[in-house]
Amino acid sequence: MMMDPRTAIGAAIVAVVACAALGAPWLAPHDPNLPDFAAALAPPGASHWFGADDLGRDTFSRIVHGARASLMVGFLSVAGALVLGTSLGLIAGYFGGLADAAIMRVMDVLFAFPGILLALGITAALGPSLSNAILAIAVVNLPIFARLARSQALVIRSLDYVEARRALGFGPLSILVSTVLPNAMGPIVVQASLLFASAIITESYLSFLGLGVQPPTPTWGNMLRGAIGFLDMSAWLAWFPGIAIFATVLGFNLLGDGLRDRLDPRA
Amino acid sequence: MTHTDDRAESEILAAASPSLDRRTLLRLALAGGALGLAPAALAQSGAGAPKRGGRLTIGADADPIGLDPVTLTAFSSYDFTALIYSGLLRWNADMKVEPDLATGFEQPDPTTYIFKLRSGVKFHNGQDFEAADVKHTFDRIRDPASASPSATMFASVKEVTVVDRLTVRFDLHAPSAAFLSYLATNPTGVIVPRGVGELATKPVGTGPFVFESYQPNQQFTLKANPSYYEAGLPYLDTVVFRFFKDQASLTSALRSKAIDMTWFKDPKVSAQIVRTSPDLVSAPGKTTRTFPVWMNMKAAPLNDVRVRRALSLATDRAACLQTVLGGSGKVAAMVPESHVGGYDGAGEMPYYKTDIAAAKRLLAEAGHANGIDLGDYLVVAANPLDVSCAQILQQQWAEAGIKVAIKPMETAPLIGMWLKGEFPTLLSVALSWSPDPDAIVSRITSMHGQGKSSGMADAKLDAMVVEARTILDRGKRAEAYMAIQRHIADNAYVLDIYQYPLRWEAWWSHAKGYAPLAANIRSFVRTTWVDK
Repeated sequence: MMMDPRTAIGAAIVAVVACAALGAPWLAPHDPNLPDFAAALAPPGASHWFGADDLGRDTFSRIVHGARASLMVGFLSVAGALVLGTSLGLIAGYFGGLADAAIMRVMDVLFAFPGILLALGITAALGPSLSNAILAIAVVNLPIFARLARSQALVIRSLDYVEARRALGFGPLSILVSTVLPNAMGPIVVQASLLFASAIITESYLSFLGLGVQPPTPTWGNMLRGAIGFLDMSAWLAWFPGIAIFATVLGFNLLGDGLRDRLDPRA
Repeated sequence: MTHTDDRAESEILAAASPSLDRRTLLRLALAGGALGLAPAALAQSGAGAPKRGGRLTIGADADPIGLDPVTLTAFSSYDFTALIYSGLLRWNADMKVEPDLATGFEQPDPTTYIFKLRSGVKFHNGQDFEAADVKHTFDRIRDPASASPSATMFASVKEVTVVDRLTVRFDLHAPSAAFLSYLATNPTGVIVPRGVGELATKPVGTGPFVFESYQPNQQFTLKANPSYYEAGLPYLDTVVFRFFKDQASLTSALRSKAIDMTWFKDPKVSAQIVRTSPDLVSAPGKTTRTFPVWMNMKAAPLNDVRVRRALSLATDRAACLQTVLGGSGKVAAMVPESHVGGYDGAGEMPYYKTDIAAAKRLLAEAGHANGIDLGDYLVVAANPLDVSCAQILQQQWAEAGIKVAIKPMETAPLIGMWLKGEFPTLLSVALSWSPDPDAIVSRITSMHGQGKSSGMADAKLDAMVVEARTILDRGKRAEAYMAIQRHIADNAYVLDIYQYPLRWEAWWSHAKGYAPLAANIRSFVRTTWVDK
């Protein structure tokens, strides 16, 4: 089966970013945290391909190392939200009644907050760090998965094959895991791929505001934050992390769209 | 540093600690009669006669944290107290002490000062300024209940007595070389009115401008004081401080002339903007402050001098200076070069020569052969230079097996933790200019609340600091402060990294009559006028 060209481009970008993140220690020509005053604010050139920041740290090395933070936050926060949100959603949808009401009202409360505000609140309350940024983004995404899984479970629970399993005497847990879950997964996977892109953006916001990964560890967001003082004379300090965020988000969105076309029967 | 900077610094050096011989005092008293001439001369240094009226908009980088001069601790408040309040004495543009609310003083013996006060001066609320206000101010400062940061500076004051309505006498415990410098410094020595509460939010002073309104994070508005005592001043009707949270918006506000004047925290940024706009006037900053790493020595591991010395040996101060400031500063000890006894950045200091192997040896002796994790190193998130330097230190220390996790924080809670000694291990907050080296070194004695709460208990240091306060001979005083700094470096009570200018000031040429002051306040807004 031929891959749609947009999906292919998305997949290619994602592959490049993933390779950069995994291979950062080998790809980076310099230590990303090592200052070198002789190179401070050096423009892009042969020794510093993307230039150097105000402390003389190599921007290219920081970009490839920054990919690790972005992908790690994206992956762990989405995976966390997916596992917990899907479980809660399936339980709510399959059993209905009190469980449904209790779980979904909590999700509604979370939904009521704008995502970025909720993430800011959580990181401000728990303190800025990588793990708290992951937690904050996961909480923001939790209700999205819960709602999606619930709506899938609502449909699937009354389908004939579920009735058949029930008639054969299987318990609810077994039916949920072996029958409902696999049939509900398509749209959830698509949603995950799309949320990956938004998680990367949210991580950048948080780092930009100083609430994400703490210095000296590079992330694209905190590199942008460091660049704002030098927009006048050393604009490349902002270009490269900006381009990295843009391209990565584009890649995940294209890939997500492609997956949706393939996996989501309603699309 | 340019040649001009060096000259300017030596001028401060001469003025920062006036030697207290009779002739100087006589001159000071005489200058009281000539008051009013100096600002006029200054204002005319711009082109043409000063124009009256108008508004000056200043781009500020931080909100004030309280406006009661007796209790405030944050440097960001000084900009406002400098225009709202005034004191018995003040610093002039050449950093010489001159009379302000006083017209002059006599010193019948080394521990007694009798000040004659200006008559007819009113506080902004209409209340008359009298000797009783001076007594009230210093009684408040010295009352432990006020927890005033100025209390240590005026610890030499035994008694303030109202002689008559316009005469006040200060009796000191011992001769104090720093007393006049403190009196001249805003907000340290400024006078607050009797019977007025809530100065922190509703300031009432005798200064050239009156508090009008304040919207946090937005703007702070001051109006000219119509009954200000210096004839003809101030020229401006209104002074507006607008707050900008980052250098980029400050830079573009200056470029677009949304503000008339500002200062920059980063030498690289200021160099760029001034180079591209010929109508911008800039003043070279003076090396008036230090960037130290403060340590909590109450508990292990920093109560062990070997660990502290290892930190000092693992630090490459010159590399920090080059990387963070592009070399625009000097290596620091406790006292900046602009003070008497200040460190020139080049002389020998114990444990200053970077030696990773020796640092590791000391750590091993202290029982940390496999390195040590010092946990959180707190820095001010709002100061990119501080965060940058912390990252470089983190790298340097790692080479000696010393691990820290940098934790950038908001300014106000960080200062609170610093003053109370309630931080885990390491904390950096730069020391702003202070009027006298005594203020810098007293901070870490066990006699000072801050020093005590961070675990200081060094009777020898306390004695050295007390003695240096009373030495009136300039050369001997300089030696005493060098000895104190060596003692501090030897015990690594504080890791001083570099000394540097506080800010790099810049303003449009339509703002005239302004002069930057090394005391790091904008006193000369009172002589500024706008010609747009």
